[in-house]
Amino acid sequence: MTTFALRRLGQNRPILLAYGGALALFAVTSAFSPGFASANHIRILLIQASFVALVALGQSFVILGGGIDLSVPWTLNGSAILMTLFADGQNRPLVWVIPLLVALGGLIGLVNGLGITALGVSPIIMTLGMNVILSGGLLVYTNGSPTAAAPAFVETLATGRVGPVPYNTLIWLALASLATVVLTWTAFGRHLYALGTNRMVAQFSGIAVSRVTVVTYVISGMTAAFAGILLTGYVGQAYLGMGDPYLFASVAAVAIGGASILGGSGHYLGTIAGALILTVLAGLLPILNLNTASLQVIYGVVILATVALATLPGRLAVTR
Amino acid sequence: MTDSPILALRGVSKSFGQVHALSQVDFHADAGEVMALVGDNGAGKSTLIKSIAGIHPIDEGEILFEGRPVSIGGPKDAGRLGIEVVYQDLALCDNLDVVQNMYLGRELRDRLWRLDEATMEQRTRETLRGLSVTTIRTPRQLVAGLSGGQRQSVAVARAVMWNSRVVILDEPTAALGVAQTRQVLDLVRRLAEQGLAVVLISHNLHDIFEVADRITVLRLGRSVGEYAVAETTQQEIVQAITAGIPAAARSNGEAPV
Repeated sequence: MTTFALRRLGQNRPILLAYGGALALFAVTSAFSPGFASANHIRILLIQASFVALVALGQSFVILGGGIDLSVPWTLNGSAILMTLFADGQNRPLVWVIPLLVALGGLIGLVNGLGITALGVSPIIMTLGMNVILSGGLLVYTNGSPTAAAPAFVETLATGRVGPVPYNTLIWLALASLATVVLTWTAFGRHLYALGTNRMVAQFSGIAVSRVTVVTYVISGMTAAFAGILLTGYVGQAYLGMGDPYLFASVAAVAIGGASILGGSGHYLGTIAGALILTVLAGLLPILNLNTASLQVIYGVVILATVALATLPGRLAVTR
Repeated sequence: MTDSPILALRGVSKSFGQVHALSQVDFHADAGEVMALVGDNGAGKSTLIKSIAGIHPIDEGEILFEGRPVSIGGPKDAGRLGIEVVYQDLALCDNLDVVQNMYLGRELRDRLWRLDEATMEQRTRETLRGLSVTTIRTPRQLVAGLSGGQRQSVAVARAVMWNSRVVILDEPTAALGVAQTRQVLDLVRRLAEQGLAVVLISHNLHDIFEVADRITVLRLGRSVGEYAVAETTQQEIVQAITAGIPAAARSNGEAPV
């Protein structure tokens, strides 16, 4: 009964609040800056939001299951750099380069997941360690100066459009639909929510707890790798450190979108709103004539405040 | 009374490193009867049910199901045989509703691999009605909002929904009020009347003497003995639990308070 699941989603207050917040923020910003609500600028905002949202897609699955993936920055970065190196500015190699890199991202997630489930390493330590290993490895591999530019096809994918809609947004929409279907209408999604709430209950119910956990990290590795490819197309090249902003942003998007940072509640539809809020916010602050330093301070404070507010009902429920 | 028990354990042992949690334990559960499993903390009750449930597969001995030796290596094996366990605090997921909990880990799917919510909701209603659980107004409410008695009812209903033959209840009345304990005990009795073998773990001898047919006493990982409720006293059971005095040592029927 699909209507049931939709009705319940429609009653999800944190998610509705997040969309309300995104709209309000957008309206306020547009009032200050006339060009902000133009079709062209909305397209740019959507493209910018898609990178956070794609990384946050995998992050949503991981956090829902009660984990966290801190290895997304350098998974993204590694995929971006390897893509430019392997393709060397040519479109043709992308046929195998893109699938290979997405698979490689999945492999990173697989190692994360196995370390956490089979070896019992805590998710924070495991994925943080992975992040450091990847960043070090990439520095050695590239000698610190990757140079190749993004192939034209990837640039088209990231910035081109069909009619009024960017390709990028269509790709995001497709993946978002897939994530929504999986979370809402499949047993895997149901098991994920159970897992994030109470691992033991899930295990005693006969759910393959370890397998579900590993799959979430694999998804996260794949979406981070794919986001790296698209981001390279948007920026025009790959550089060391390009993934760094996406660690906090992806976690914040999930939390602002109404998910519990401890797992078990939330939805990717909320994460989308979270990604939109972060993107509009980044566009609002320069309009207020704030320099880069104070911009970063405000950006950080607002994220922390929103995350604190968003998780407040969850914490109240826990202490009850 | 049946010829051979549905579930029988013979000489079952289980160790965790140097700790012998169970040694040479015999146990059985018959259709239509409530078998109580009692013992002090650390007597091996939890280990025994977890062995039966496949969470801690046994080291030695054998498990017979309907007279045939079976090997239970995981929860799925136990479920396939029709053995269901209702764990004390680990039966239900708070953030899911009643229907979602009833089918957790065994969701029904349609041809497109989507969850079949309508059928699951329908069968949940039928199961609850079949067990005369009337206190749950809608199966779509979250389990977090249920009372202790309602939670136990859902947990028990979930266990019996799968054509189960043996239902193991771990402390089902712990932390329940008088009226709610009543509800759950009635439900336990009803399960036995429907022909299931019920294993009841409890610290409350009063409850046990009210609903159980037989009592198996465990002490320090060994079975002290088996008692028919109609032929024993609470005093005798307490002695068996604390001192390991078997039934044969009974001196006279007049038990002091």
